[in-house]
Amino acid sequence: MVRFENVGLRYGLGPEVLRDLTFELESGAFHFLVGPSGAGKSSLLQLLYLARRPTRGLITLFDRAVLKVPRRELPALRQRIGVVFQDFRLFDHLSAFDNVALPLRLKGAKETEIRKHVSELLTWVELGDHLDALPPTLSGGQKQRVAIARAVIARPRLLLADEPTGNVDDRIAMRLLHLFVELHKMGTTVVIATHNLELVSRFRYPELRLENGEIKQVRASAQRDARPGIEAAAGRG
Amino acid sequence: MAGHIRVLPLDRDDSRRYLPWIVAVMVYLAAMTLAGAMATASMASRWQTGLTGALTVQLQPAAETQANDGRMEAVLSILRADAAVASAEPVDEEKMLGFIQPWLGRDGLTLDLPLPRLVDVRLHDRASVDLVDLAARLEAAAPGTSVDDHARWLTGILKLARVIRFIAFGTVALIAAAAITVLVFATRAALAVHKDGIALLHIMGARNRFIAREFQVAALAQGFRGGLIGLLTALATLVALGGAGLNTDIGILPQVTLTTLQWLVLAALPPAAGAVALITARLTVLSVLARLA
Ligand SMILES: Nc1ncnc2c1ncn2[C@@H]1O[C@H](COP(=O)(O)OP(=O)(O)OP(=O)(O)O)[C@@H](O)[C@H]1O
Ligand SMILES: [Mg+2]
Repeated sequence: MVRFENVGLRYGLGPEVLRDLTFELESGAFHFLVGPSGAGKSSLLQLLYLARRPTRGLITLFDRAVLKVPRRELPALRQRIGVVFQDFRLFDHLSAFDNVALPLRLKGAKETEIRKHVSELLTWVELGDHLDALPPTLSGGQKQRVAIARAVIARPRLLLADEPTGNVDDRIAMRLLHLFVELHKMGTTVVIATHNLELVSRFRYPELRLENGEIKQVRASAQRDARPGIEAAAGRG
Repeated sequence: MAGHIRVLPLDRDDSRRYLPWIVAVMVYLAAMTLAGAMATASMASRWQTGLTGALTVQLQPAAETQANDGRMEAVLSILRADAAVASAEPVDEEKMLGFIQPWLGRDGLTLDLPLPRLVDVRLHDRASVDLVDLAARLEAAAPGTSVDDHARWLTGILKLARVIRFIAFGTVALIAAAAITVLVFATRAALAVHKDGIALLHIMGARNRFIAREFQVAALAQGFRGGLIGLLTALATLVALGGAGLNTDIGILPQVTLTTLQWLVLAALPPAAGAVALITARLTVLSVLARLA
């Protein structure tokens, strides 16, 4: 699904922020990406959602060498990736409904289907009463749910989330994480970057730890959340 | 394009709000230029139809003025005997004085001023006369006559009309070029203003065509709206010009009016402005995005 070979990234003439990353994520895997602030988690995710090119090395995504994909084929590749940005990045003048519908519209889905699926998903994240609300009128947690709904609506093959629980309390954080677990159960590969080690420790998913621009693959040790669904899901990762 | 949900708020930023007004000014100038050129063209063509098939015979005043020396009768009888001539009428002296008055003033018009006498000759449709032969016969019967078929004057008028048309089209082309330049820069400015939204759309897998459509929809609306404002202002100006008397018949000038087709040309300006704006926006966006890494 995802393979990095000796990948390096630097900004301008600065030092390498990511050094010699070599790792592989299997299809259907679920990983937490952890590491101190400034370690390069967001930078790594940006490489994954094709917002940046590595300064060296080889990235393979969906069995394609990213640098060799012709530009006109990039949109199709990107449509298979769902991204939750730390700062949501919703379109402020589009309703919650239209924000969530956007990935489907980009894929050219039928308007009747869009209406059904988007309403369903927004109801599922308990925003059924806020379909027409504009993002600036929503609370932080509500915006976060819109952002997550937008990332998952088109059933991406790869879901990337950068601090998706950064601004919400633990209770909501757990609920949102379970959304990703549900998606993961349907076969999506999930990578979640987070500072919240306490939260990570409640799930039995492997961690990717970034330190000094290098990566270490670590298995989660704690298993405080031992619910069967999560156990089963973790077994595949 | 009709069902396109607009993602980028292109109507809300300043770089785009002034566009309709620029388009309005451009369309106003284009409309006025075209109206002027088209009025000149129809004026010239009316002169042409009015003057072909017509001759003017001029009878120089004799040195010793005599109101009736018989030459006029001789000229008229020769002309009326000619098979090509439909009618030959002496131009009324009062009417002649009316033509001249604007140049000489009423005071200059004394009856002792020797004036040439004119005969207005109409030919049968498609009939032609040998001007040299006719002039010779008239001169023999009545010395001091000359025949004018208006050819030189008409050629001059038509040439002038062609030059005016050429200048008008050139002016409209320049206006269009200026409008397109402004649209290109405005589109680039808008691309810069919305670069975050565009980057986000790209990350979500939007194709450049989708992003271009955002700009096209906005450009079409703004171009058309601006065109409409410009055209309505131009029409108001034309109506005001008509009201100011420039359209009224002053002496020999035919009336300045436009044909239905010419009105349609003016009416096509707002859609044309919209189309030009749309195409310019599309090409600009696609070329800028193609160069983006
Ligand atoms: N656009 C940029 N230009 C220059 N340097 C950058 C840029 N973005 C990030 N960096 C640098 O790259 C390094 C890694 O940043 P990154 O945002 O990837 O870290 P992070 O692990 O996501 O941190 P955090 O946990 O605080 O979000 C930092 O030293 C940062 O200063
Ligand atoms: Mg970060």
